[in-house]
Amino acid sequence: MKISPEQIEKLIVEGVTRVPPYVEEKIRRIHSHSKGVERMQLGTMLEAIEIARKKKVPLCQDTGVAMFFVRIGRNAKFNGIEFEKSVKKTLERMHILRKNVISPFSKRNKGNVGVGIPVFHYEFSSDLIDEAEITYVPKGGGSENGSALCMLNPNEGKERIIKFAVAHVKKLGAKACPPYIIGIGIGGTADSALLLSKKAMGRDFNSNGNKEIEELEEEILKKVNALGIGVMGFGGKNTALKVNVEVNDAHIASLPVGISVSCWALRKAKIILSDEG
Amino acid sequence: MNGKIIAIDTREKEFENKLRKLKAGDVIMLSGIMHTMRDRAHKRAVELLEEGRKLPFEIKVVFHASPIIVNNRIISIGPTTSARMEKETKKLLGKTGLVMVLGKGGMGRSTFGKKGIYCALTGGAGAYYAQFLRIKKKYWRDLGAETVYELEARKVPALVAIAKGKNLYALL
Repeated sequence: MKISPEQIEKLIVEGVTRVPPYVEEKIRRIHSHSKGVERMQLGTMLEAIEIARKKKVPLCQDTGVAMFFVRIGRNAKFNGIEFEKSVKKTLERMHILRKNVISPFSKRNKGNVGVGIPVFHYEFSSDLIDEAEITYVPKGGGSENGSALCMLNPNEGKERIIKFAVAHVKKLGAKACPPYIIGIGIGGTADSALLLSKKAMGRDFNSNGNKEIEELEEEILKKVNALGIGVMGFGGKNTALKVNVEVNDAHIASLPVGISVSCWALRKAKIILSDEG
Repeated sequence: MNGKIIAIDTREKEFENKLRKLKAGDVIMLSGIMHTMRDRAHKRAVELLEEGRKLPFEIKVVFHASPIIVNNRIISIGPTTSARMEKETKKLLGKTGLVMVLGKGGMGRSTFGKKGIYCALTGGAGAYYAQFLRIKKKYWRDLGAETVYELEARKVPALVAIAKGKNLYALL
């Protein structure tokens, strides 16, 4: 199974120039009920979505750092070394990406490929057979700065999780371009809770099938929207479009809670590779 | 949001007078000259001023942003989070010709006291704002993506979000 540089480029272009249809629909819906400043902000968002799609230019100038989430089927012959090499080469020559990557201390600019960047996450998946599914997420700096991790006391449970999440969004304010899509990963270890939160953020707006989680998502969304931060910070009840929660099991002594925030301009693109080509 | 849209040009004689009349909630169409500055450009500017030196460019309007450029044309440009430049902005407001900041997310109440106004652009909408802005000059190119671009603006729609101590942000 191979992925060509052209396929990678197409994936990246699609990723930075579009928002998923379910996000656009939601923005359209709240725009139709809005007025004043909120309407102005939402109207600009919708115009930007149109222009980016038509002209194939990045919706947001912050094309982020590239993240790749790869799911590999049980019989897939996926060559990770070749894949990463090809991704890096493509990122290096693409002009529509802003050169976002620097070395933290020397501040030397590395373009879009640096030490540990792009970020790759791999998992094996039993629901895929001889396929590999690659999701590209360009993650902007402002929204990534809205990430958080808290190691709660296991006895504190749901109520404390809700409190932490809502207090965190309050502190974040309008810094990460609301209305947000908020991913919350509960359980696992510190690192896996954060990773899980990112996957939750990337999930669409459908339920993950668990009623208890659905209720938790709705409760957090309601409380976050009651904060009154609003679209781009100008007040109102649209601080978040959706809260997605995913839960793993955890150590008897631990209750990790990770939070990942996406700006309204959630961007991602997916390709499925198979051995047949 | 206040009534009609106010056209304003940084190159007109009346610019600063017009600015003084603006209120939070006004919508403007901004034309003229502005400079993009973000984290490191702010740091460098303040360091120069503290050494008693001058900036190599004259700032009136600072845009917290850095564009994507293809063939010397901007294809996407939009505001970055202004809160990160809070400390430096306070210093620039007193020591330079800076009178207007464009950004997103807002800034503290105390930053724009009597001097200067803050205008909000919509975040995540770089494809939209690119159509109003052209590059004129570049400064501090060693800053890479944080290069200071002198831009010419043609009727950029912006919301006056902080003026005369009034702040439109819900939680600031």
